[in-house]
Amino acid sequence: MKIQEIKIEEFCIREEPYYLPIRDEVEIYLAAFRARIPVLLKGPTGTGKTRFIEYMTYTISRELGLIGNDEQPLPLITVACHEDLTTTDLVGKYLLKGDETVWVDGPLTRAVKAGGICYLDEIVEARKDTTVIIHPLADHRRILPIDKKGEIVEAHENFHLVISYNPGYQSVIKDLKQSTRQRFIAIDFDYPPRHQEAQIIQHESIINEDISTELAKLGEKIRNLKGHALTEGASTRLLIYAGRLIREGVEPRRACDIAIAASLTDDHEIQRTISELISTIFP
Amino acid sequence: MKQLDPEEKYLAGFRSDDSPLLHHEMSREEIADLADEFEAISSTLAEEFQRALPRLHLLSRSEILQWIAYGKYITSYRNTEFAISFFQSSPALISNGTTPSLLSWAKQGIDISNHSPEMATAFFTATPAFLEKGDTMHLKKWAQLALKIRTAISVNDAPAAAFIRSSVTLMEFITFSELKEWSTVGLTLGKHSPAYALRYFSLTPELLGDLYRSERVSLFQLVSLIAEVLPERSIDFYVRALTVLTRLNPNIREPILSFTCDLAKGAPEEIDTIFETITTSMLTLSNPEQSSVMKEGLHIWNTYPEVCLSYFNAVPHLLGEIEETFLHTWVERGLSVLHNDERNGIRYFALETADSWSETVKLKHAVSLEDVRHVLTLFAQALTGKNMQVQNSEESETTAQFYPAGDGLTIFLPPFSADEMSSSKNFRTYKVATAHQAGYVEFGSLQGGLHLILKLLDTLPLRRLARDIFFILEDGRIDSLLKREYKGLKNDIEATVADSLAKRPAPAELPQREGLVECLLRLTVELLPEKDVPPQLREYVSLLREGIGTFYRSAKSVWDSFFAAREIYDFFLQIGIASEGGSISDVSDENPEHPYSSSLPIPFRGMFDPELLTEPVTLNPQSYEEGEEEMGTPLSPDELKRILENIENYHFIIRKGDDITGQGLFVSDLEGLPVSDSEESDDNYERLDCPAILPGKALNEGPFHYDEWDYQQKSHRRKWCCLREKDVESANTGMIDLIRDTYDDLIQNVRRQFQRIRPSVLDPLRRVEWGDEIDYTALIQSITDRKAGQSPSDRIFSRKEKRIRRIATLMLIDMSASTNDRVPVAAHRTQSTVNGGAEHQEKRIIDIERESLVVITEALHALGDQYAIYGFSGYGRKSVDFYRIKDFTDSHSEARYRIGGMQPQQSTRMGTAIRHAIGKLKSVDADQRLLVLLSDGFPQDCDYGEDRRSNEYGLHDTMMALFEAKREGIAPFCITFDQSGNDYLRKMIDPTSYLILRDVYRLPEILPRVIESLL
Repeated sequence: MKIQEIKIEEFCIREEPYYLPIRDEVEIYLAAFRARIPVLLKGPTGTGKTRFIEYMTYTISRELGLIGNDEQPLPLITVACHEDLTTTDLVGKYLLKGDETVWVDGPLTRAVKAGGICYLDEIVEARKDTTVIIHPLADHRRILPIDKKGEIVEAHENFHLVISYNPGYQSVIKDLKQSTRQRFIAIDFDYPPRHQEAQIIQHESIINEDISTELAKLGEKIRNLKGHALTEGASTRLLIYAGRLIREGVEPRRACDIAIAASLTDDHEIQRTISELISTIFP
Repeated sequence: MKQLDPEEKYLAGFRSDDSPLLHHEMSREEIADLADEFEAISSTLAEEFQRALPRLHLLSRSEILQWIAYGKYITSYRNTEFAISFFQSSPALISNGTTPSLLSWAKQGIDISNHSPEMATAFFTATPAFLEKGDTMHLKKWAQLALKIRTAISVNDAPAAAFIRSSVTLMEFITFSELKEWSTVGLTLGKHSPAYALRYFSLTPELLGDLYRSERVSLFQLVSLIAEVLPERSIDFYVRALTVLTRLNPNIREPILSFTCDLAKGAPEEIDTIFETITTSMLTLSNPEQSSVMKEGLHIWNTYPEVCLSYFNAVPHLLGEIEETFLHTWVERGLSVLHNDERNGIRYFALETADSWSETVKLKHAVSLEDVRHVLTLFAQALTGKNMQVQNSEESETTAQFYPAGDGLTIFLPPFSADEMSSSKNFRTYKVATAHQAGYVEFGSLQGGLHLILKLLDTLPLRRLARDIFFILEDGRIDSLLKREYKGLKNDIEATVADSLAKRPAPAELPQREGLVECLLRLTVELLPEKDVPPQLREYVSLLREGIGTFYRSAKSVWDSFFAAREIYDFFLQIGIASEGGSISDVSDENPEHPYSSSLPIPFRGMFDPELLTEPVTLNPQSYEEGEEEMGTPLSPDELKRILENIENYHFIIRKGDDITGQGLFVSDLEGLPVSDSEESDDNYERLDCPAILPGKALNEGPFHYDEWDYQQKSHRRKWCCLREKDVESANTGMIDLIRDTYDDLIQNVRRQFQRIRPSVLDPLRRVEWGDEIDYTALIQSITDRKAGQSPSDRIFSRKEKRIRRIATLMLIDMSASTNDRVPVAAHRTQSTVNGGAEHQEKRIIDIERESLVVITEALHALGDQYAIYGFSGYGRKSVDFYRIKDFTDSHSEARYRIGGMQPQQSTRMGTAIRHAIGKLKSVDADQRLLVLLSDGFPQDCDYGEDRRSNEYGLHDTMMALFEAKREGIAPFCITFDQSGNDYLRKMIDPTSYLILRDVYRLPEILPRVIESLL
């Protein structure tokens, strides 16, 4: 199999990803894109934020008529933020080449120039001095100042900034600054209702409706423990993993134990409770 | 010049020739003559006489002459030693008693000397020592006891003399009145041989002092009994028993002695063996196990004393197999075997029957609720999505403690599950019971007017029958929904049901009416084969079977169960079964001819206890909100209307014909019902406000169970203490404002001081873009990357950055009864004012604690640190109270209100409170955790260790709890205000972690300093 190497600003979604809208998030996002308002996606892990943004990238490309012909679809540039992420990492830096220095754009600059959706995942993990770099991009100015070059880059008309964060496990210290928050509209993500979650699981793990419904039920019951014993409920992603293991022939109780109970917690008693829930739901 | 006391003055005078003599006015010549007279017998005698005389200066002339006369009489015995002892001991009588007692003592000595001068010498010699521990009033009785021994053992006076000598030593450990019991043994032995009596009286075992008085008395009685028949063995037994008893749990010593005594009635020669059997068993067990074993032993003794010994023999082996918690069940089972078949029962207790072994194996696999309570609580929370709790039914007010029960928020389960032969099956029983109780909440049994349903059922003549039918149907509905919703649980429910049904009477074994109810119950669990239906009920059962099937497919709420129950009830009346042939007009549950015997529930379904429900029945249209599903939702007028319409339209059973004579329920029936202001609902409100377990205090959280350290066993007693969190009632802040005003200067100082010391640490940061030093690792990596044509990192520096430390401080305050004591103000403080003019008056310890808390909270608040304050007290291991004064999340102002509400309570069980505080501290996100313990003395509680006279157990447990705190990374610090300055803390904690405060009034100044030093 040939391994493809794609430049970061050339990564596009060419096929429609599966996404089941839960409420009006698709319409809201489209409206925000048209109005060039940056978007903040809030919600626990595994509730479909990344999938949503892939789906929206594809949908917008289609709306712009970039799908189904030779045109380049809208790129999706994803940056996973972490506490060592600096402004340089985002914007770009000079490199030595022989006796000269060469400027290399960072992912944000590339996105601003190429146009496309720039998705800064887990933005609160980035240092506060890094976060402010996106401020001029996220308001009416839509510009990116590059201090080291003494330049300002105007954003491409199709450039759209999206950030995400999980309010559940962030400590007060890592909360998003108000000046950052108030530059975005926020779309809340939560675990889907049982029926819809079952549909998602069924589609993603290609299992029958019965098992996917039971998995969704298990997810719902485990989420009742959130706040009591668990900091975060079982994500749809974990339920899908369990479904895929079941599809591969792993016995359902065992699949749930390893994909869900053991992943969620190290606490012996909580693990046992989850195992009991699993054996309550799966015969 | 130093004031001399009369005796010193007198002695000074006596030694110098010119001072006057006091009282007896004996002239120097008279004394010299007497001395000469005694000198003729013995020079020592004369010396002792002259030494004694000045000490008797308070005697009158006639009294001193009488005393001299006794002395002369005694010398006539020609036993110098005897006379010397008289003169030597006489002054002791005057310093400890009165003049008449001296003369009567002399008389007693002379009386004894008539029997034996040696004995009398011992009497006189031992007297001063006797008087140090006893009373002059007992002298006569003592002499009489000695004489009694001498008279009984007439051949030899050595035992009586030994009695006199040893009794003085023994009085170090025992009271005078016990000497009588002690001497009885000697007297009995003396009947056999003076040598035995002498050996016995010569023993002065110090261990006697380690026993309680009643235990000593029982022991003497026991030894006496053996001495009657086996004198020689009795002395060995006495010595051995003392050693053994002092090694046992103090709470079981007395019962062991009386057991042994009772068991050996009529056969004293058996005592030794019986005592040996019981104590050998006991010594292999821990103190709490000994208590449980003895408790059950007493229970057996009261029922079948004959099997007691077998029980004690078997118990160490038994406890090797089963947990101590299950001992009671094992014993109960044995007693029921005994009840049916005595021979078999005796063998059961000797572990000789298959039955006793199978019971043991069964209990070996029993599951204790405490071990799985947390898992079951989480399980119930997961199923319902509500904050449900699982509790031991023994801690509930429910009437049926052996069955699960619930009130919509709490599920009460029996303390253990032991009906099955494997732990997984026993756990399954718990799991199914929890799911069923949670099912009441999940599927709405407790919503939408259960109280009203019960009231409606109670209007029927056969109310117990009606209720039984209703609960059978409702339980069936819940189980059916559980099985439908949870396919995995379905198998568990079915297996549990099958096991339970096997233990129930078959419908054919019951009277017709009860048989039909049993059939209904079995129909609801889908386990009623046609062959099990009595022929005369087949027709009815087939109608019910058809109805049940459709019912569970369509039933949606508890009201559906009610309507179905009404139909079945009417059906019972219609077919004439309800009254068992009687006329409908006079039927009732209590019909003396055919009383209705209520159907027992299937164990896992539990016994529904309406008393546990706190749901009020109200018909208040204003308070109804659509969609509200919480407990106690009042019925809306629309809802009620729907219910009432349904009453007429509902058809459960396809009736044959229309000639039903059942008493239908009409809307008019509802009109007269006491609804919103009924007595019952009022009672319920009252109960909610003021739970019986903890009168006057709102029951908040818990119970939490904690282990306790047993230093003798060197192990933790599992889940030994039960702690509940309570709120301290808020008081007005007037008092707090006053304290703030009084200590204003101190508060300002402490605040400034704390703000200055805002703690920080320097964190090294590596691989940064700028810094004081080069990070060589990063630099090398960067150069390598560049050479390789990769993008090099410009983060090649390192620096140190200040980081604010996050500190969590928890203050644990002793709120025991002793904090109510007033503390005398130190002299130097009464004259001066300190801390900005705060004048000290005599205050209670709790007041000073309060003042200190006000000062420290102001400081910590200024620092912006996380802090919490809790008080602790309680009474006994089962009720340790943990008072919430300020949680980490509470605001500063809330804390102020509650500090004002702190009041002295009961005891001081420190270990448990510390363990709970550890949990609190661990839950806080902080770099450093401090635990400051403020107490006014020893850790003390009514059952803090078996020996009530010793603080050792409590100290060791507290020490272990503090050690556990350290292990969790918490820095503990103890401040104690022990007026006597007992340095017991030295044992508990390292010297840098404690402070003994002699002057309690300094606490408000000291506490901030202590905390500052810890930061």
